[in-house]
Amino acid sequence: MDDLERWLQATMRAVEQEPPAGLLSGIWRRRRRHLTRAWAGFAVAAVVATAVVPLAVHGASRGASAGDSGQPSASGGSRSASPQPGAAPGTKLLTCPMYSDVAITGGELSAHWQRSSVKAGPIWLVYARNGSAWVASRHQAGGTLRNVGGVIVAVPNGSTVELTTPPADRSRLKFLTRAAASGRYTLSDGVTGLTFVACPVGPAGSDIPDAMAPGLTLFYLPLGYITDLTGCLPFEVATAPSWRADWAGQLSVKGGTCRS
Amino acid sequence: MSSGDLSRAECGDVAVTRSSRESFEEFVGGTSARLLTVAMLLTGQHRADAEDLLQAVLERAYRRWRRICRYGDPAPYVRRMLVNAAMDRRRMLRRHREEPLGQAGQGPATGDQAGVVDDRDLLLRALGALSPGQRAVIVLRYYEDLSEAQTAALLGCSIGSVKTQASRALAKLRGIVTGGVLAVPGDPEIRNHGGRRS
Repeated sequence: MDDLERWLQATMRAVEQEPPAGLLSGIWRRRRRHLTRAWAGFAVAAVVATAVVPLAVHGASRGASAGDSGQPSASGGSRSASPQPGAAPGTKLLTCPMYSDVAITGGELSAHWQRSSVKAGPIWLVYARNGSAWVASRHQAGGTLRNVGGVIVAVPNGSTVELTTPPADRSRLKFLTRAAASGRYTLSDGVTGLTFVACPVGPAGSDIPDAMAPGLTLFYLPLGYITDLTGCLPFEVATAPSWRADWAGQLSVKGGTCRS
Repeated sequence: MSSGDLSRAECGDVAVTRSSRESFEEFVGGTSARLLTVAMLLTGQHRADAEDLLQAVLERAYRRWRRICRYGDPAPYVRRMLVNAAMDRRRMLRRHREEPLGQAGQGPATGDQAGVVDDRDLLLRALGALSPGQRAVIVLRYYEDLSEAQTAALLGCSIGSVKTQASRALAKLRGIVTGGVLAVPGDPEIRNHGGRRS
């Protein structure tokens, strides 16, 4: 330890502060504010839920059948008009064990995975910052794509989240969820959205390393997506049960620039 | 003054022995001074900012206090929350405005205290010139006495990254402290005092 380090150590100790007066009362004041806001939000949610229950009950029967089969539903309709559990029309339902492929992901991410990932509402598009892994499976010239690349989505345990392409771009950006025997893909092979049902919230262990993404279910999509868009890839994220859009944004890939 | 000082107020078995609130209040009582100092070193020169940050972090910690207590000693967890919050806040401030190398201290000092106050001002101004990551590494290494491995674990980065950050930060601090970048008008001693005041 040299002079500068010793000086740092000594001076930092000289900076030591007296315990702040009124710290606890300030904390409890903040706590009350937080609870007030939370209850207000809960009340609003309850009112909204009461208003949409009939629609939800009606949609459940349709949504469950689409979800159980794991197939994209052929029926139309919009999410806002018909909130429903399970996979939305045109999306693929992925449940907890289905794509948590430890053998492929190795069961953990790099230590800095959040820095190179994009937080999209409650979920993470893992390694999607600046393109990264998410650039691999884009559409190629000629209308087909031979080499597709996996992408990872991290979803909070206990939640059901939908990742979709906005309606305007649904013909141009699709998620690939099943392998083609030919190894070549076109846009018609994909689905317009994915509905993730994360694993249940379990008892938290201790000292879980960040790389294990504690509290999150990792969905590995070995085929990724296919698109003929360049530069910007638009996505939307909505969460059950409200199916309110938590995030709508664009990923910039391959040096493309996006609108704000 | 080891990091163990922060461990004095442990949760124990909250569910059985004490209420969450009692346990939390005991923890705050035992660690607030040290946590405030960490907040002060991490955030800048204004005690009010540091207090505000600490208050916000502790309120968030209370929300998940039982879960935090299940991990054992809550101090490392809260310290990590504090470091992350301070880094986020500094990054946000850097994006929106540059903090001027403004006035430090908490009032005029006289006599023997003047040297201490000058050193403290110099330290806080010098730390203010570091990036949030570098600043966190320096505070954790030299105030909290954490090892490189412990610092890396707390910041969620590699030991190599900690070494690099620390090395760059020390080089920068050395340049500032010895080069008079943060010169105080009318105080040539600080400009040239080489990092230590006798």
